Amino acid sequence: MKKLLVLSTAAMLSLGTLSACGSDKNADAGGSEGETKLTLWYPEGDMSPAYKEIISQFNQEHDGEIEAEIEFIPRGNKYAYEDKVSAAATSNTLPDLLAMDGPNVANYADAGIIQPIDGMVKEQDQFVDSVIKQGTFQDKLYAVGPTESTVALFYNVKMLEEAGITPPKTLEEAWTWNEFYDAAKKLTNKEKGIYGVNWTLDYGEWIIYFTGPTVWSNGGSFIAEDGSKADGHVNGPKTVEALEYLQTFTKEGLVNLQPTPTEFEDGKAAMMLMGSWEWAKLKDYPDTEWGITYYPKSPTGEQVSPSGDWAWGVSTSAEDKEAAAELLNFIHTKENVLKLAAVEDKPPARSDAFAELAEWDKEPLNVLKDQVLKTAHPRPSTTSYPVLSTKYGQAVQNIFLGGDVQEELDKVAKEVDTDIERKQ
Amino acid sequence: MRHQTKQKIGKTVTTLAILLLGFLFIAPLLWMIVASLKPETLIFKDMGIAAFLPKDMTLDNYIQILFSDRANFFHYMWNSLFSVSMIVIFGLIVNSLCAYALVKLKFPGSDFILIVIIALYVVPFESMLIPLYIVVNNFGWINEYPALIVPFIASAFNIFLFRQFFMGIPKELEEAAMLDGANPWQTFWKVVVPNSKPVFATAAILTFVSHWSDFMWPLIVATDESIRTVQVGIQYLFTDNNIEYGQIMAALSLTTIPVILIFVFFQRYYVQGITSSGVKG
Amino acid sequence: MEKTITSVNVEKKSFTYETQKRWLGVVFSLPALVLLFTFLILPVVLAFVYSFMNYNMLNPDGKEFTGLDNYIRLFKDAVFLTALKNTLYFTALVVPIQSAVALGLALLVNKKVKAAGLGRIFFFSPVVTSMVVVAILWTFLYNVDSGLINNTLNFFGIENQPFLLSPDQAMNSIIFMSVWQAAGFQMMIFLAGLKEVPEELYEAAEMDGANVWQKFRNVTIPSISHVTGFVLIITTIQAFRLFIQPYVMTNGGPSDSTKTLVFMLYENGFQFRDVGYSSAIAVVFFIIVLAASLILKKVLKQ
Repeated sequence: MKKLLVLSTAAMLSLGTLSACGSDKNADAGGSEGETKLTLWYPEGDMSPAYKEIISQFNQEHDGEIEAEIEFIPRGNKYAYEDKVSAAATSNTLPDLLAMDGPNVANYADAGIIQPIDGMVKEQDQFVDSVIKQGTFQDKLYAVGPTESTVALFYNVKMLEEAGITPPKTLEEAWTWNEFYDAAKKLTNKEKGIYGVNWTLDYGEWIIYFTGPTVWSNGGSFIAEDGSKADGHVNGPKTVEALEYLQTFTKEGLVNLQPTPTEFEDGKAAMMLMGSWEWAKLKDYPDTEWGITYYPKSPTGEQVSPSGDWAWGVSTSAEDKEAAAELLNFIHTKENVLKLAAVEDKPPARSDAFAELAEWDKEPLNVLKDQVLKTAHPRPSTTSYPVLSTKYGQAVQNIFLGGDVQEELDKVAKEVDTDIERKQ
Repeated sequence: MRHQTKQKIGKTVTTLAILLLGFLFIAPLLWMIVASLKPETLIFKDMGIAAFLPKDMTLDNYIQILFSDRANFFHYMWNSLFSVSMIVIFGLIVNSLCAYALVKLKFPGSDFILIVIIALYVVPFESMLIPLYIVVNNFGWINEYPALIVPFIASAFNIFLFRQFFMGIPKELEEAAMLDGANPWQTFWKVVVPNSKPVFATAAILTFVSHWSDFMWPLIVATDESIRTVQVGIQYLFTDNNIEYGQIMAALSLTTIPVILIFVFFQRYYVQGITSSGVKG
Repeated sequence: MEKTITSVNVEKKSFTYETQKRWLGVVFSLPALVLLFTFLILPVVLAFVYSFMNYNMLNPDGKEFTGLDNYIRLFKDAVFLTALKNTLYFTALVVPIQSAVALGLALLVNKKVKAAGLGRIFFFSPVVTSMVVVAILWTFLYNVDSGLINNTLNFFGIENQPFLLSPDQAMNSIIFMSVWQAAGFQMMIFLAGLKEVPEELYEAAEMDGANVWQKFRNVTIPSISHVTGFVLIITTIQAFRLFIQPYVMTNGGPSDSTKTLVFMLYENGFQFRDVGYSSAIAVVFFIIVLAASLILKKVLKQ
């Protein structure tokens, strides 16, 4: 027992020392004079090493003037990063530059935690339209990002050949809903346990992201253009029709509702609706030949694909706006955009960067390039986006399990409109 | 002779029951370890019995985790071990003393305090996250160890647990100590503590386990790489668009080891019937 | 004569002991009470205040008092009623089942056999296994087409069940899994209790010719009643706080059938950044659970 006592005294002492160290460190932070300190937050992930490199290069070039420090915040598989931002916002401890997923721009801008960056971005005309659109709230630019993303239809070349199906090679020939449905039906083989299509039923942001184009392509929408009302949009006839179409896939068992994480890669599904990053993963499976084709379009509507990736904004607590702009532009130079895009084979968000990547002009990556440059559509811009995304995601899950489409979407509209009202 | 055979059969039946039932409980842990030793492409290929059988064993996943340039696994592990051990050590002292005071050294208001403490256990942590963050931020503890430790030392659950067990300690024991001239502190230290080893062990294990898996709070208060805990530190594995399940399983296997060790360590304090021998002596 | 002197001595001693006791009682409990006040009571009071405010987490300067608005909204919210119903259902089933399973396991690993130590680790292991692994595996076990549970049911001639995909079965599936996962926790508390039962009591009962059941009924149960009461109360409170299992396994669905009060509280507070509404849910939750535990405490005393 004496041991325990000694141990705890030692512990008590060490605790004291540690907290003392902590305060010392804080004192140092303001240390060197004349140098502007900038902090950045980015979600921890594959991109972290590339960002680390870019920031240290920035610090070298601005030695004695600006010193930037980037912190990578774990994101978990849901909203841990956003929760962290919320906690920081509520206690005024936000960093100077803040990365955010595209649809959060409106939410953050409206709450006043990020500031407009109009006129701060160099060579703004080089950025692809969808990035600028995504970063704009009430006619002011709040955020830009170095990379884009999209969702396309990945397929197992051999399985499609065996079924006698030729997937479209050009944007003009992209499958319509019916063609996609027919292909999925033909490829499904219940005896062998093979599904026509695989799509992930993630609980986070994914659902609104991957189903969005089906809705937009049909002329539907999620919310009024100015973000003021969801009723009549998210539950409007065109949106309902789009989800009824997707529901036929789950109703008829063309999609597995409980797939393994590698169902498509293991040859248990013939096609997969997935983000552009899937291409990098398929490289782990070199024995199978993979292809990519366009996101299917509504028979009456236009070709649309989803877009949006993480973007950078300047927080309202950033004091030195010029230094922040300098750093923002440094991240988005053509060279750095190329460097960041290369990490996960992501489409770059600058067209001059795109022009340098010959691989993206060839099959199958040209499909992704076409979508980013020609058919990209950002997710809705509304201050109530978190409610919309969450409630819509839950509703779509119910719909896939056989729920009534109109009824489920009516509930979403009601929840979102309550939230909009609360914020006024 | 007959009695002995009967006992033997009884023991065999008990052992079999423990092992059979035990498998149902430990299966996920086994699966996790087996999966962590497989190449990525094999993990979900067959989810039947094959999922529990090693195939093409490799340590690649472990090497990736331990020597990653993305994360300093050893350092995160140390941070977790340090902060959780502090919670356990201080917690055992502070909470057991408080429970002892409330049960055995009744003072004015002690009954009321007990009710408040039980009521506090009701509060779900999720509802306190933001207010607690504001309090801790006022102390200037963000990104410092005390934020991970100090708020969790006093625990309503542990005080309640100790109280319940201290109630069961026979009065005669304390009276005997008192007659020997011991003061309340000595009574606590020499009579109550030695006679309550199982409950101290239980409190230690349960506290360690529940804080070892903490994720949300450490994430919010400890962004800085230098004090990041292991549960937060391995989150990068879940974030990538292309999740590598083998590495996840390897990391989770490694983080489970300390908990199992703590459990085994405290097990030896589960000894039978000290209370009664104490009475006799 | 001698006798009287001794008793006076004891009285004198006990008098100083009694004063010391009170004084030390305050000293001993002070560290815990100060910490509890700062890190538990203070935040709870703050949450209580927020429950009367319109408070967007991202805009703390814009928060304003709105009286009972949050509470009025809560009682009109259909999701709240569903969540309350789900939480009560879960608690009513989980508390007796899990406590019984935990006691059974504790009795098993309290036996003097070599495997007992191993058994404790086995039964406790789900408590320490990461929820990520548990969720992945149980989702496979519950899989409609190829899950192990459905395969077993097929073997007995029962057709495939939807489990997590059905609003009627999802909560029961979560209950089953929760019992499996958390019983080890309560088992450890029961085990500590069982260790405190004096062996002589069993020996005496054996002398009287008691069988296994009689020993359990007449020795074990009364001797650990204070532990049983504790386990029932904390299991009730923990059951009310159900959140993480539905959060990772069903996301509250399908059709809100596994949405619980704490799930709702988290969703509104963090995902929707509506601190005021979330705090109001917390306050109502607190009152409900406190009432339930006090009733339970009364019942147990009788």
